[in-house]
Amino acid sequence: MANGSSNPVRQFLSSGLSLLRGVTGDDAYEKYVAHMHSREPATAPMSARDFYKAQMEQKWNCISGCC
Amino acid sequence: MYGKLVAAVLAVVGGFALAGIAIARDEPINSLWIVTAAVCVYILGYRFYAKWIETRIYVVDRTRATPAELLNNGRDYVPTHRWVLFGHHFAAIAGAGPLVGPTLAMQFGYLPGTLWLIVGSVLGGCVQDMTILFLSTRRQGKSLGKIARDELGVVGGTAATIGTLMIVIIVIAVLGLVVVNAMRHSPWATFTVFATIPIAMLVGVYMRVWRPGKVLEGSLIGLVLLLGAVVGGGWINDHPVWASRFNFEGIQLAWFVIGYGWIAAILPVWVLLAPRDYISTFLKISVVVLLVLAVLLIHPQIKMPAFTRFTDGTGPLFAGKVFPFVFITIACGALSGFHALVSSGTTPKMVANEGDIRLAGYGSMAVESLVGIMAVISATLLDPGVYFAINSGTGVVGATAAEAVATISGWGFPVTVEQMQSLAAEVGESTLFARTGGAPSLAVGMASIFSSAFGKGLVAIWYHFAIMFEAIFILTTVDAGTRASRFLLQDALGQIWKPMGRTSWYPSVLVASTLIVAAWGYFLYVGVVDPNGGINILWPLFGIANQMLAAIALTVATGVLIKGGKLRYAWVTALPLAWIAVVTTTAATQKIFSTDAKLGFFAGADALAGQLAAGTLAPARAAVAPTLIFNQHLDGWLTVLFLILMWTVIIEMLRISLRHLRGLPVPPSSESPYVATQLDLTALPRSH
Repeated sequence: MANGSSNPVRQFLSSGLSLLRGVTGDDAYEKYVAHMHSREPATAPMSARDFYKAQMEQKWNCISGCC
Repeated sequence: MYGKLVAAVLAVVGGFALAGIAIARDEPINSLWIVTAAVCVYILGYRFYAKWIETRIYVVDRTRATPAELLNNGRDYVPTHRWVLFGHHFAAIAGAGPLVGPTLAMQFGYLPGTLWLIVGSVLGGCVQDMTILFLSTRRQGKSLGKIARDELGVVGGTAATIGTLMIVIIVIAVLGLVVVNAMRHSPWATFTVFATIPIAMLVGVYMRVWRPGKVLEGSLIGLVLLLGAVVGGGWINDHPVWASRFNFEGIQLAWFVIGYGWIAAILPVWVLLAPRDYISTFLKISVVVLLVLAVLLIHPQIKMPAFTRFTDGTGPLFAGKVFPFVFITIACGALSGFHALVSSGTTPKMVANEGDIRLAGYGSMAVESLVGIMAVISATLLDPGVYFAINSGTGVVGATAAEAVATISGWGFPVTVEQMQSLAAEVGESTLFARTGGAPSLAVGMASIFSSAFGKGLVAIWYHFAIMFEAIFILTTVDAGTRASRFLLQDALGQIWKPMGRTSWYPSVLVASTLIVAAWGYFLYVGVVDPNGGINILWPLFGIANQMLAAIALTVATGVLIKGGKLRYAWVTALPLAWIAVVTTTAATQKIFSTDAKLGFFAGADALAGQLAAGTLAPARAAVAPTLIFNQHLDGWLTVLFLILMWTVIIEMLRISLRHLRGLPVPPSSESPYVATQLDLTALPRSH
């Protein structure tokens, strides 16, 4: 919020980018790490590489899209 | 006060636009009317009908914790921002379906399909998607099959699962046929589609090895490379040697798609499937936005009449009268049973608050319906003669260009060989005659819209961009569908012999994948060798299967409402259920019992067998006739199976509902108990 929140164009672009990152799953690992830090601080989170692999296998083991 | 004023204005404008398109006859109308009518109706449906359903029927409780919160594991159960949830769900439900179906349905004229897209979505499809999403969210994100089993018992659950497996197989076959027909004898399209494979693999390595999880970077690189492949295809097309290397017969391309599907199903997902899906999500969202902007910018005239003579059932794209077949042909975009699988798949595990369900469930489907409207506009801005020349198989209008234009002009849709040739040259194809499947005519329409809006002279690039755009969705459906049904099959086989149920045991993976690929590969193969284009048989079969699944989903929803003591409101899902059950039953009985060889599966098989026995078939057609005869029988029996599955679930629901109303014991509600949310409600945006 600190940087550039007064500039509406910049604010619009940054919320657009965060929306896009959310929809595509670009921020999934960051969210996972944050989740692990807050919920299970004692367990070390998976590496980015392992997390990505596990995500992929889980996502495509069921019907996750239409025609 | 302000909100009511806006709603009143929307109602007046929308009503005026709807009346305008419904009344206009014998004069071309502007596409802007259609877009205006559609958008006003969607907004009204969302603001009032969906809101009413949400508060009165579901009694959405914003203080109730969702599975995403309770089971939050940072991986699949993750509370997600409502707009991200909306984008995710939209990307998951929208594919080639809402583009192809409406394109094919334009043989009846623009009006029936347009009205079904608008009305069917706000009263049917949007309600179904939202309801299943709500039911699944209240049940820890369980799948439709599981909910059916819990709420309606084993019979209903099993029927839902078999239906799911069948529809996935048919959808892969029919979409595979669409992409094969788009590549047939087109070096440019073939090169571009082939190039998507190494590009996706490169992006896969990028996202997995070089920059793990950097999805946005990877997708952008993939997108740039894909655009390069579209342009590169033009160079290949002009090159004497390379052009011939990418010039294939339909049957070769069918084998390619089959082999590709098999390999993709057994490869790890990160290699090909996942990266292509990422690129496809990106493309999907940007192209939909671009297309809407371009249509608003150039607002083309609609050249197709409101109704054509083919409402009587003699249409060249597929046989059957406007009722029930327009409702079968347009599934995705109006009401699609497949969406119930997505709404009870990944999305319910991401819902942060029940208040977001309306936006994700109802809102995403309204946008998908708008995508269908864009397909309508792309198909109807073409001269009707051109539309029919592209979409009619050689078996219907004649094998040569001269025969085809004579037949089509004879229907009252004038078109000339020169016109078709110059159009083909403009888009960089050798011919546009008999390019069945909907993708080529849609691409011609989209290319015309994009090139008018964003740059004349790039028609050929836009055309092949549109083909690539459709192909990338379709190939994702091919391998994602094959994988998903492989898991369903392994699960079923595991009941018979335990080791087969181990989803990562390689012999089981190979056997199950081969069976699934053989199943859809068979339908694809027959579709390709069929001189009538194959789409005329497969698309109605797909439509019936999809609407059967919609009926099953709506039945489950209605049963849950009645059991939950909401009989008074059960019409919300029972009304679309009654409609789609009537439509599906009518269509299925016509496909089974009709004596018209073009319409009835068994009648078609008998007619062909008669011609074969009498020796009146040309040698090339006689050679494939036994295959086609067997296939029509098979399709007929499949249709019988779909009818039985649908009515089994409906009757089971009625039986259980009656027992409930008479106070007899029924399977208990599987809804999870109330737990208060710990999330900060004041931080959540207020929904309107």
